[in-house]
Amino acid sequence: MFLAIDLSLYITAIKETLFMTFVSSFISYVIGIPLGVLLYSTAKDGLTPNSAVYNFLSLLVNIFRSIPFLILLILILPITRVLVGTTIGAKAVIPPLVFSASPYIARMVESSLKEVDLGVIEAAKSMGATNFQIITKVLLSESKPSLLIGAAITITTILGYSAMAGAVGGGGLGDVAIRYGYYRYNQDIMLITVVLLVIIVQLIQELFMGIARKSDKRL
Amino acid sequence: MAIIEIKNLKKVFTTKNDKLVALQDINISIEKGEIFGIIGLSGAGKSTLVRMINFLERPTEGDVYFENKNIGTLNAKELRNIRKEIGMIFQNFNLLEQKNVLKNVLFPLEISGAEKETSIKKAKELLELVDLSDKEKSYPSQLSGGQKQRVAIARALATNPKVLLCDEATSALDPKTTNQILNLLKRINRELGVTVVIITHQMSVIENICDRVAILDQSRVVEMGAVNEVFKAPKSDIGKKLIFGATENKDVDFEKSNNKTCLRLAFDGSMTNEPIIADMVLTTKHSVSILYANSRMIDGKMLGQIIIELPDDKEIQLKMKQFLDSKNIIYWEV
Repeated sequence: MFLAIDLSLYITAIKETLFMTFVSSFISYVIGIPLGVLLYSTAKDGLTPNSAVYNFLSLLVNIFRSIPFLILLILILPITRVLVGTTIGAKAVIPPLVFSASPYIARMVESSLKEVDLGVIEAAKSMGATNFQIITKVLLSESKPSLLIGAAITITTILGYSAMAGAVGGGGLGDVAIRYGYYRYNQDIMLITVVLLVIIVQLIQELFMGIARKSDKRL
Repeated sequence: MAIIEIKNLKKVFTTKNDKLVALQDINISIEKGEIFGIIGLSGAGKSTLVRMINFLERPTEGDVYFENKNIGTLNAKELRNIRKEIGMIFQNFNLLEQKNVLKNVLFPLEISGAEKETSIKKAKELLELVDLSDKEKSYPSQLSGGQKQRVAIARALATNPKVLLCDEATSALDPKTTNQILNLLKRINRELGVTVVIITHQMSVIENICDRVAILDQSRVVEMGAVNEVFKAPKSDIGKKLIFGATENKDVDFEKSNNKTCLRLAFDGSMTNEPIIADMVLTTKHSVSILYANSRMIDGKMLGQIIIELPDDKEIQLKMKQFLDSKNIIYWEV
């Protein structure tokens, strides 16, 4: 049994997984929210319709979303080196995760914002709100529950992608599962890492759904 | 003095392969302090018209003046400031679902950058005005339709607007709640001096609280005037239909036999003592049958209508009409 001997192995792996997941989720949201707002605003029924900008952004987002993560991971290695100074280890996985997750988040944000009743936006306009005020005080705040549900889906997806980090020696639970469990065919380790991943996904999912439920005043 | 003046307004919606004229030749002048109603069937362009008053919709042609300022010539910032002087409420209330009642009322003050403490004081006063002080911590989903509309009214009044635009504000409410909201609007008009513009398809709304009315049909204003005048003798077909046709009595169903000439007589309270029909019968020596009659109170005045069937003889018909003319009775054939 590896369980007792290599407890530190799992702890390190969990830490790496959470590090990769949350740091890249955070950065991806910093990029994805403005991008999503821009998509929403420039769309046909948006605040400032602009089909040129919308089509360009939409294409860009779709391109990045359609590249398989493993390919993207390798494709942007030069950029990764510039950004984090290395192409191996947990840090090196963050840029590809961000590249992959930001467009995904942008779409999630766009669709959450679209759920906001146009009448409410019209009401805000009738009160003399600026577009920026409408975005920050109406759109983002009214769609908060939907954004949180989106975050639960996004973060667990990023967690899943981070498991592929093993390919660049990135570490984390996925890496352990592949190296010890798959290559060395150690079923115990495989099982434990998978169970740990399931627990983490479950926790993140429940946590965010819980916050979403609690923050939603419509119910 | 006119607070809102709409001049030669036209709105055309252009779709891919079609042009739809939503409104044309609209000239309306709304006086300061009045309650002005705009009525029409759905699709008549009412909602588009009210949205052009605060430029939520831009007119294709024509001008809108608010206190003699041409809104179309304002820049974005000036337009936003004008909008703060024109409150608006909606059929679906359009409250912020994730904010409680107090924060909803605070919202327009917050975006105006008003100071927080005075804002809260103002918001609480307004909630008292609409009788919802006990609900300030509630969320819109916990309120009834009437309560939601009252919150919306308080919110629309937060910036001390001079005008309140009401877009089908009572259409989603039951009759009892509708009356409460109308009474509240009347109070706001009388006590705060806010000019109220009401868009509706419900004749009863106009009848209850409006001073003047414009009837909209097929993208034009077909009739406009003081409510009791228009109700007494609507001139346009749509006006007749709206006022006499689809009332709560559904009086259109009177049994009119074919080829018979029927007249609809309209009269107001000043004539109810005179036995008009009886006099007419005595004068012409010919009888008529009364097919339908009703009366109602509009703005404190009794207005009534009678539908009579005339004899077939053209000469007698002419005599009867002459008699009615001599008595200044308004009538038309139906």
